[in-house]
Amino acid sequence: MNPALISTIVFAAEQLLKEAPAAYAALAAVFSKPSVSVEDLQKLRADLAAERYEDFVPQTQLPPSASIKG
Amino acid sequence: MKSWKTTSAGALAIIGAITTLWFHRGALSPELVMGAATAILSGLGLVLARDNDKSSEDVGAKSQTATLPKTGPLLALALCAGLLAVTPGCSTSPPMAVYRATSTAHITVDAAMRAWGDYVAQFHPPVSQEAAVRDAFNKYKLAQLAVLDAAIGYQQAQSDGAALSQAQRDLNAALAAAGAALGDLTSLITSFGVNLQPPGQ
Repeated sequence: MNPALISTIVFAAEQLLKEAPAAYAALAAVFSKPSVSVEDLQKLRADLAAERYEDFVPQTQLPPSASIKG
Repeated sequence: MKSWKTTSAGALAIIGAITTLWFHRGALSPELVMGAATAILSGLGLVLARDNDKSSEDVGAKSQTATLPKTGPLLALALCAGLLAVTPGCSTSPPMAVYRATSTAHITVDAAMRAWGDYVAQFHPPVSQEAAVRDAFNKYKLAQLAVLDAAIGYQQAQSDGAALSQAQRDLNAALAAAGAALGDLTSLITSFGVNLQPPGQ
């Protein structure tokens, strides 16, 4: 791999580790996984399906939205 | 061009991703397409960001668009994930590539949506803007669920050649739609004034 690319990746990873350790840990876990199973994909799907706009924007002025399960 | 450094870096990232797709146009794989999509989104983030020697006033931003504390990691995350996704030499299966790309997008969108939540709490934007972001978020979510459904279908079709071919086509279509939905959501949030600059810059 190009050394400049490696340094850029290291720099970005350092910035991420410094500013958002939780996001870094989550990303590291994803990229260190050797293989993926149907269960892994289903768990990710369930996590995503459970998220609602109101979870991120508690002070929203919009009426509650219906749950989207896909 | 007020922020020529980030804009140039973003343009190069986009050109690089498009060039990669062009050279592999005869044999596009889901991981290549998703990697290029991630690199293009990273490039868009750089194009939208401002240089670290430019203040909000320099670029004509209103005072209420000052840096929000939780938006800093977004650019680093997009950059890191984009670089990892387009790194050659990593032979990953399509479901693994989808798992990585979807997880990265999930983390990125979580951060962007939390930043939007902070912005709403602080600046109370019009209901129409909130409705637009919620619609874009729901569209992105449905698109990502379709990608995961297609990846699960691909994984389950491994032993059936004909089914695998159809599953590959479904996966490619779902990936293209998800990439577009993710780009729409992040662009919309940025267009309403949520800054992707790291704190203190």
